[in-house]
Amino acid sequence: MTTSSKARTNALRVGAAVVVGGLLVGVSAYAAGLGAADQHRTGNQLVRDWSARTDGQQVLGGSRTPGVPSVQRLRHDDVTFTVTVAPARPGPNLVRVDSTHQHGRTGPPVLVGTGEDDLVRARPRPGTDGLWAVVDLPEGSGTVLVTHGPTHRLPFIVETGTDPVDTADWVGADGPECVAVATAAVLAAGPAPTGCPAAGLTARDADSLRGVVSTLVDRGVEEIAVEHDESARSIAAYDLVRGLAGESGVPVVRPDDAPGDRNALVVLGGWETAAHDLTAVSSRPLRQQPIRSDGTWLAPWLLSPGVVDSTAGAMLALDFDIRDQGAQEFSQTLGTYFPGQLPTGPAYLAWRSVRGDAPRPLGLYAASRAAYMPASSGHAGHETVVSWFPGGTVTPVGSLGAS
Amino acid sequence: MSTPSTAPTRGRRLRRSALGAALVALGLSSLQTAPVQADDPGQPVDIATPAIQALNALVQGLFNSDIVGQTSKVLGGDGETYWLTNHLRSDLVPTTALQDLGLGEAIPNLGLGGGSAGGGVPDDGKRHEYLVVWAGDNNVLDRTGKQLTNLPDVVTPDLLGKGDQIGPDFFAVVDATKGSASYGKVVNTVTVGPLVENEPHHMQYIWHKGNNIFAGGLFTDVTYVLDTSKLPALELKHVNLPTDTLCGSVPDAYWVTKDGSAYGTYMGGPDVPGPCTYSDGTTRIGNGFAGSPGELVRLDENGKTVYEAPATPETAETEQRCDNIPQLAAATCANPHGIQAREDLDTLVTSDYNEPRNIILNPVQAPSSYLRRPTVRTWDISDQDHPKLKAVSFLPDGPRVGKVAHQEEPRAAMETTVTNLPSHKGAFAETMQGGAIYYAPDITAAKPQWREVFDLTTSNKQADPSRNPYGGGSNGGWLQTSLDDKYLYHAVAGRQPSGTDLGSPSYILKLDIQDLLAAGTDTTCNIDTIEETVNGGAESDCPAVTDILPAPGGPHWGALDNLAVGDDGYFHETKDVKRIAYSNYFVARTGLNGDHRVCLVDVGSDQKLTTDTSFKDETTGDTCIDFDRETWPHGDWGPAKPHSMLFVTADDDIK
Repeated sequence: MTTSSKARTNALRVGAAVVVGGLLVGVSAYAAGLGAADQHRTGNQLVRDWSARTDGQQVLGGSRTPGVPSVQRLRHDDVTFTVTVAPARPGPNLVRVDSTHQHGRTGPPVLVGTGEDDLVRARPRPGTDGLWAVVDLPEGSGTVLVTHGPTHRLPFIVETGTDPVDTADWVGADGPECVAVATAAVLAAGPAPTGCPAAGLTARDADSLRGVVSTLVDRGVEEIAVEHDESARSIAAYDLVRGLAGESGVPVVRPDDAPGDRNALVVLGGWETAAHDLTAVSSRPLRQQPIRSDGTWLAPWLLSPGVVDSTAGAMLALDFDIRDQGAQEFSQTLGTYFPGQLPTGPAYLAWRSVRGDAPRPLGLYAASRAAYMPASSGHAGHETVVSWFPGGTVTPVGSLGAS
Repeated sequence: MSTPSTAPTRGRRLRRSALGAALVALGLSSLQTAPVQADDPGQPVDIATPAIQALNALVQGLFNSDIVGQTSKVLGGDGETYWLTNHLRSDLVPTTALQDLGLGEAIPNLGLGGGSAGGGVPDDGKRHEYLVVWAGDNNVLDRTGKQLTNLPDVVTPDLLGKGDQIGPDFFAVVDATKGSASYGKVVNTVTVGPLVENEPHHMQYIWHKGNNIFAGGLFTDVTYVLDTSKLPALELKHVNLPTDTLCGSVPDAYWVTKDGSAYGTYMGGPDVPGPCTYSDGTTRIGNGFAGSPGELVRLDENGKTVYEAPATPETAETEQRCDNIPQLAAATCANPHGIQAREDLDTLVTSDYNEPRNIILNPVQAPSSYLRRPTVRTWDISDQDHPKLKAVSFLPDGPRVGKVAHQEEPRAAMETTVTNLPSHKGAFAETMQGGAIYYAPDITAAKPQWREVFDLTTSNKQADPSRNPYGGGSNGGWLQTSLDDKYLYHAVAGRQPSGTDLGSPSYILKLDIQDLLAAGTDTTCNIDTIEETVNGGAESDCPAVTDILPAPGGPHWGALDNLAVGDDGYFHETKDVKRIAYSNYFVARTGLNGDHRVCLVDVGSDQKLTTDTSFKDETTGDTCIDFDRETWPHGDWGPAKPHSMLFVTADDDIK
């Protein structure tokens, strides 16, 4: 625990410059509105909270509502920060930070917390974009601080309410997917979901997996390697796939087992574990990678650029086409308002659900990056990134079953 | 499938300048051809709703001067409807031409507004030649800008507005008729739908009277087949979908045979990873869409798949290293890209470029140099509908030691071109990364002998003596023999600067190949010393530089103008090519983009190349036409990426 000296505290600059006289007025007005429990907060905390509400933060939807992912944007020193906090309930919350600076493993660090004592580094996560951190927020409202450089702190107020909610799913490995889905629902002008996708296997996703297994069986696959993790969804998916394969006389093997002549990999984990596990293989020298005759098949929730990037070519069974008008609207909306966030299947489906667009019949889709000329160093990112996968595409290649 | 929308109801740029456009008469009729017959599965196509499409186009015309719409539709093999919508400029297209298209009633006949409204364009008495350019919408939402769009205070279902969709890909029909009042103007844009972001790529290399146009979309794995008989309008004949070519993906280019059918190179692997059985009954295992092995597809004149032929033999290709990601049990370099044929020799040639699928923005590990192919394949097409792979040739290495492995001379054999005269049996191939040109004097041989005959180091040095002329990575693309077999044209986009490397120049290269071809199979030209890479081949039959035309902007593709006006006033095909076109665009997502211009070049009687400065952009007045423009006949969709082009004319104008 660090000692906060008065000199150090005074050195912190919070948000935009504030006139002292106005600050005192603001502090007084704010203090007058506080409940008894809050009246013990220090002057600097009050300043920070006041600043977090008023210094130019844009708030998606115009208001901060407990239980609704808080998406806010602030421009500071020519850098724009977009911060998403979910589920916006008391307790641990997942924070996503996007900025127009280059951050990540090699850029200037971005720290997130509620005070100087609990700042943690926001980090990239496998399978998705953005930077992520977990922050513990109190009941009522809390201020999330995002650092910009060693002394600047950007404050974002989050209203958390008082309802006790188990936020474990939001801050675990599948949290980013949960945040993406919730944000997409809000962006579609719908209500924020209260649960997370990885909490269970939906009927739609089960149908997709049935389609994958039946297609592989029809095509003559002799064994199916299955990757999964410990989420409820993944376990249910694994049980389903194993059962279907077994009914067809096709053994299920482990991903680490040496593949036989006709082998396919089916990936059922979440974004993070799938990306991690796939990367562990594709980062090996080519000759050390297993040869899977029938390729890699992803669960439908894994249509995320971060996951597709982790393997060379993937198959999915989907009930939408990225070129559908609704999917285009979704990707264009993200592109307009959240250019740091690439479209993903689960997020689009949340959007589609709110908009009421009809699903397509399940079909087979190939997701791939198609560069046509492998990149030389320094030549990435010169092009527009509107489509679902920069440099890639998701193409319908037929119906389920043997072709 | 979404409702066809040929025009945005609100421009993506969110502005509608008052163009003083005339209100176009609404009494238009759709193209009065018979509905497309059941070549396509299912029923003839109902063309009633094209009237609605045309109406939409007219609404668009309110904001884009005099636009006359016309749509053709076909049913795809997936049961979906695909369409092509013309947006003809009645202020540029002669009235008589519009009448011939059955669009006479749509011609503005009231003097409303300004501009050219008021009765259409009189016939200038010329028969018109067009440059048809296959172009992709280039959505340029600025994602890197410091000022992001503010978060909406109120979230509604209409955050973007209906108009802010990805723009359609299209064919630009440009008047290429010398001396025409509309020379260099885009008289029609023909949008495709409903698929967007096709990544328009190549068509066939040259057009002949009666041919349809075959045009591929890399990312959608679709071949569009268009009827050109009624230019400046185009009509959709067929769409060949991914499910119509199960054993291949990523269509690259086409060669149309005398009967109007075509061959297409499909660079990528089978749609679904695993075994795929080809039309000959044999099976290969591929690693999936945009992977390997690719294939050769025979298409009928309307674009229906006739035959899928494997491009890789049944055994692994091991003469040189062929990487595939993911690995295949039988390694292969078969990713056919360039394609040309000599029907008189019963031989077709394809060049392998690269395994298309790759991770570019988030590479887990550096891409392998050995994905870039050093191979050329010859095919037996004595039975044209049943092509057979005949030989796989690994191009030999040259004397240069590349900065990186993929800049060795044989790497990334993008294009191939055949000789044309009956007495010649050779063909050329060029390597985009290797920076070399190869020649085989006899493609009918069981094992064609390919040798390097020119190194781009030589022409780089001549084009810009101030820079290191190193030829590797020079990004050469289009390669084409002149129709009289005297010259070889090559578009060189140049290597981009990187670190201490100043890059290499961009130009159109013209080589004299007469001595080389005259030597027949006794040719001795062989670039096998470093000196020859710099100074040109020492052997007397090596190609010599005829001209180098500086071409800023990154030329990738080109086309010969094989059409000339005869004394009878009609166009005739000619072997005496006096003009070529080139375009500056590769594939944006690779990082090699280009400045999106299309230029015309005159070939003088001294065989020198001169940019045609009368071929001007109608918006800027600059030489060459710029596809980075805000407004098209089909709407304010902004910049576009022109990839390939063809010189074409209407049936009635050519004999």
